[in-house]
Amino acid sequence: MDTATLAQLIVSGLTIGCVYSLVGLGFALTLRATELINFAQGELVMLGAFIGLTLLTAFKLPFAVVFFAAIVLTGLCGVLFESALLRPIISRKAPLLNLLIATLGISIALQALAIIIWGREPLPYPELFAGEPVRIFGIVARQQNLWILGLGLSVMAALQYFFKRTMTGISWRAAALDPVTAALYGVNRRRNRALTFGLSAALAGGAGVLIAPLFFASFNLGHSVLVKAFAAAAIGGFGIMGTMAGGLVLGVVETLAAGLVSSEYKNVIMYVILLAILLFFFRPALPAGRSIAEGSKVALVKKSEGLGSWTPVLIVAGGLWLALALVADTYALRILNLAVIFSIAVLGLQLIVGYTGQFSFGHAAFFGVGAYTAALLAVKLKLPFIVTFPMGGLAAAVMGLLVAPILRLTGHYLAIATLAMGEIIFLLINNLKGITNGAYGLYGIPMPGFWIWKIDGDEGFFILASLVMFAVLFLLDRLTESRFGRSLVAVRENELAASVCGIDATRQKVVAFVIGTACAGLAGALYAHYMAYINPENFTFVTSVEMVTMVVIGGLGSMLGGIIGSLVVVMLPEYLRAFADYRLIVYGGMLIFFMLFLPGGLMDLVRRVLALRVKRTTVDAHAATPVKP
Amino acid sequence: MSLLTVSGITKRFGGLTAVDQVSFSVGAGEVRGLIGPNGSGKSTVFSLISGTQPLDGGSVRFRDEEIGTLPPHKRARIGMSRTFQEVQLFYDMTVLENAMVGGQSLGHTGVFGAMLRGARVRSEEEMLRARAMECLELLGLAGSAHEFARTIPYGHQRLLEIARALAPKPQLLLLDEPAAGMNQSETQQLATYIRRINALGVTVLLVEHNMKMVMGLCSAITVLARGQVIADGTPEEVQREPRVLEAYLGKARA
Repeated sequence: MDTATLAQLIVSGLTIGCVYSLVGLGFALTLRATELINFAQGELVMLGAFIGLTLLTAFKLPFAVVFFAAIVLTGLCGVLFESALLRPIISRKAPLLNLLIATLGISIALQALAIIIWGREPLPYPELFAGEPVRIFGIVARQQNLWILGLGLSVMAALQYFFKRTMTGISWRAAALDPVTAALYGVNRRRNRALTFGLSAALAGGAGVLIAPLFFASFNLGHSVLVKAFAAAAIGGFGIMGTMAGGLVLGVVETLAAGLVSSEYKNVIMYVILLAILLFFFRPALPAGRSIAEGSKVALVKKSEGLGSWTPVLIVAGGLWLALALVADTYALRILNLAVIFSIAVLGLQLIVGYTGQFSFGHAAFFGVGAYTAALLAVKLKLPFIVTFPMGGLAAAVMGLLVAPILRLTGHYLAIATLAMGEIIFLLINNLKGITNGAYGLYGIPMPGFWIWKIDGDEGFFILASLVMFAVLFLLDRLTESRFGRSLVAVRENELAASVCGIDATRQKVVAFVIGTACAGLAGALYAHYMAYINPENFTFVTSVEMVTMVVIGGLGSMLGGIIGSLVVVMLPEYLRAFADYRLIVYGGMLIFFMLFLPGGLMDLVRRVLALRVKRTTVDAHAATPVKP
Repeated sequence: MSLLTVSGITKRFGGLTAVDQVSFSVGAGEVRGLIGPNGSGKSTVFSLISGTQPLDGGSVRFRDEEIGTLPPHKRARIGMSRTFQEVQLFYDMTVLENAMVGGQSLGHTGVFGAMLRGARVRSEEEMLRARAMECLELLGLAGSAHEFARTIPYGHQRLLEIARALAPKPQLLLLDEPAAGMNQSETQQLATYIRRINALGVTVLLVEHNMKMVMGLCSAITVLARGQVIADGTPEEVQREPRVLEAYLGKARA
């Protein structure tokens, strides 16, 4: 490759990098001011892109005007989200988990909204600045790229001026360094937070208008930017100048990786870089004394009276459940089967998130590893289900063990790392065409069968999947009611205290993670055999989010809750089938709704109702006891 | 015979040497006080002994073994327990469960044992429960065993931390300002509890601000000021030491 081509790659790298910087700055600002990652940051980029497109095509406004209009409009959206959705949650002193999930909800709802308004198809931007390519020092650059670069850099310069020279900017920086002291000096914290969200949304919106001409405006534009922008901020240590530089560097690395190595693997390279940076620089040296889930989960009830004492009830319920196979029609059984498959994976996720208190936004990847392992063994080696099923679980567990080092991260960093890890696994499945058949997927996976018992209908599969679900529920319930289970909860509640109680927090996290991923793998194997056809799209980030939704809606820290959550989340959209595009809105809306009004999930609701009844009966008993004279 | 010997332990935070070449030892069976003005490095010494902060220099010997590089959970497993200045409980677990987690290292059940739940596992579970109840009773918390840790009063939360630390039958109990935030009668009650714990054969190292309690309770006292040991001896000896008075009250004007 000659130097001119290299220089050209670098210029287009800087152009994209400039977009990462702007979005990354949004992360840096919100993280500093509110200790929160806004998962909707990427969708604000997308929103900016669409607003820009509409203004350009429908109103025929000039590009510069559109750029600033998009900045202002998305900025207002940011302020709106903060004040309408996040502030009520923050003011309740809600734990980090709730806030992250709420922003995840906003992000999904925004995607859905974009699909409804602008459609699923990516929309091209009108050619901007069509003129002849410019030649500077022998480098040929498209005018459009130069404009994008110029606008991006000037926004950064303006930001730098704002923070260094204006009173508002300085007081903001003070508040980010030490909110309490700053508040004593009259810095209004609430207004600052709204301002921060507005500002970072505005930056994202501007970035959207800049990036969309390079690619297309599409509803999932934000997702790809999200992780890279976060990486930019992480490289820069979440400082302002650092993030700007980090984004530019990352943009150049990306285009060089695409140009010199492989465009298919450029994102893998980027995500690996992010993980390396996080593990190297953002690993906490000391165990934290604070829980990410404090107060948000269904508290453990006195476990001596846990599921064990309910055995007869559960057996009857299980029998009735299996009897559904006789009464339900094929359509209903198909939905139920999917719900049961998901619930097995979700039980594993419940152990990781609800019990051990670790984020995992990449659970679907392990579901995928299990599905692909089982499918390949069944299709290519013609192995029977009795082999492919456990191998699916085993492969996912091994993968879980391989990525377990990311569990040394905590809080936001862990959240984003699991997301990146899930993407890497997805991309590998998608790109290793020789093995996985790439995006075409795998066909002809047989239904499960055991020697003479061949399952051929939905009824048989329902019985099989339900039995697996019961077994997993039974084993995990025993696990959580043991010395081992208590140690997991202790790690969730307070790592520092757990460590002085003799608990090796890191090891317990890894063990819980591996068990959880094994469950996902088993579920994946069932899924592959049931669907007969799988492709990588079944195991994307969206599926991971669905699984988190199931855990949260069922109730963190409750195994039964995990099953109930899966049933609700799988079935609800089926009944809203008429509004297929609204499905994501329902997910997003449910996440936000639950975080606002029912952070403990459905199980918490059940438990509160039960507690109310118990209280009433004890009160009655007291009233009945005659008072001794 | 000394149970714990720290020699020359040092901790630096940036340019500040919070703990500077501190050496002292705690004899088996004694109640030793570690006192000093605010910011003298007492809590940091605790963190260095229990391993929640890494050492920058020096050595920590416990039961004739060098433990200065062990992670906190390994130190806990060989008989060292601690509480924190700021209460660190498992708030969404019950009082009993908190104490049972404290007793973790008395048991062995792992993942597979828990899933199979054989007779041995069940009896181990019973043993952990019984031990936890015993510790709760010792600190007068048995009545609230099934309440959630977050719902019991602050004074009880402090006691629960001690019960949790006591559950694994430690040889050495490190108490970091256990009386902080307690009123006078609670403090007196606490002193009784500590005496009772010590009478059971548990060696106690106590960081405390309440002088009356320290002088009444401790058989030996180490005094820190600006990260260094300035006095070491019986309560009477320490009280006579001019450097101690100076550290607490400032240099008398000539």
